Amino acid sequence: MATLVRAWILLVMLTLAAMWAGAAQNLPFPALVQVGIIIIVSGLKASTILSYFLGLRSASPGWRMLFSIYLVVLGGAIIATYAVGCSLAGRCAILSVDKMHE
Amino acid sequence: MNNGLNDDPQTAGADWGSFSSLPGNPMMWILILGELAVFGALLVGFSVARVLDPETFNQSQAHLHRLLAGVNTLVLVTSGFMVAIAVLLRRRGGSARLPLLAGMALGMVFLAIKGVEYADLFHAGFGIETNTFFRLYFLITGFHALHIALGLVIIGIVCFADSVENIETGAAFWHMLDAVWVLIYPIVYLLR
Repeated sequence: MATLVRAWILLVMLTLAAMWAGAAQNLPFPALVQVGIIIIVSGLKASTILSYFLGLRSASPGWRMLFSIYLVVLGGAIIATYAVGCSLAGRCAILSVDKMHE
Repeated sequence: MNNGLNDDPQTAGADWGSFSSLPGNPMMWILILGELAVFGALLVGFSVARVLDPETFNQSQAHLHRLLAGVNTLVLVTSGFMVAIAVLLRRRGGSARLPLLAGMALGMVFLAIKGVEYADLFHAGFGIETNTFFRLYFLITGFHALHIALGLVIIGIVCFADSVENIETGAAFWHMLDAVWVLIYPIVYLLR
């Protein structure tokens, strides 16, 4: 029971953090970093739900690996898509640095 | 399946291989894997569509109610917590009905908040035909909401057919919806 309560508290805190990060304007870091933080926090939440609520902690290592790969691949694909998008729009930090050297 | 109390005659004698280490009925896990693949493809598709038309997506997303979506995330996470408690209590030989009913009540709150969100958008003149953003928004969140409705029916059934395996099976479906929502929420509502 205590483990479930800790997992729930963690999920609530991570949700509040995501709400703050999503609502925050003019943060002192690039938009792509903000995207990365939000996606990683969300991946941690999904992982916590799968491990503690669903009980994948007691499943075989193969299943745990499969679901971890799912979250990493999905999160990575989203971040990569946004990276391409912000490069095309010319508003990500990497592009800005490149422009400074031109 | 991993509790040693498998009382379903259809699966009790079956060899499900690696699925046997997962909680609940293996057939549910086949469904869950399919659902995760579908929702994953939808979310990647949403992100690609945004890259192709960022202005429309940014302007349209500004009309979504981020706070309500955040509150709904807290509601669904807490509902999942209740259902997880139900599984724990049932495995210990107790009754799971009260936490399951609490989980269902929170699931209904989730759908009610979603209804308010949709009603606000419709009232403001936005619908599924407005543009690509709203088409994908209603498709993804509506598809998820329909699954929540189905999940409520499943949880309602296992309230009464309350073997350990049945409750684990219903809980597995519910937690899958919970995990999918915590991915939908940031991608559709938060990322700009």
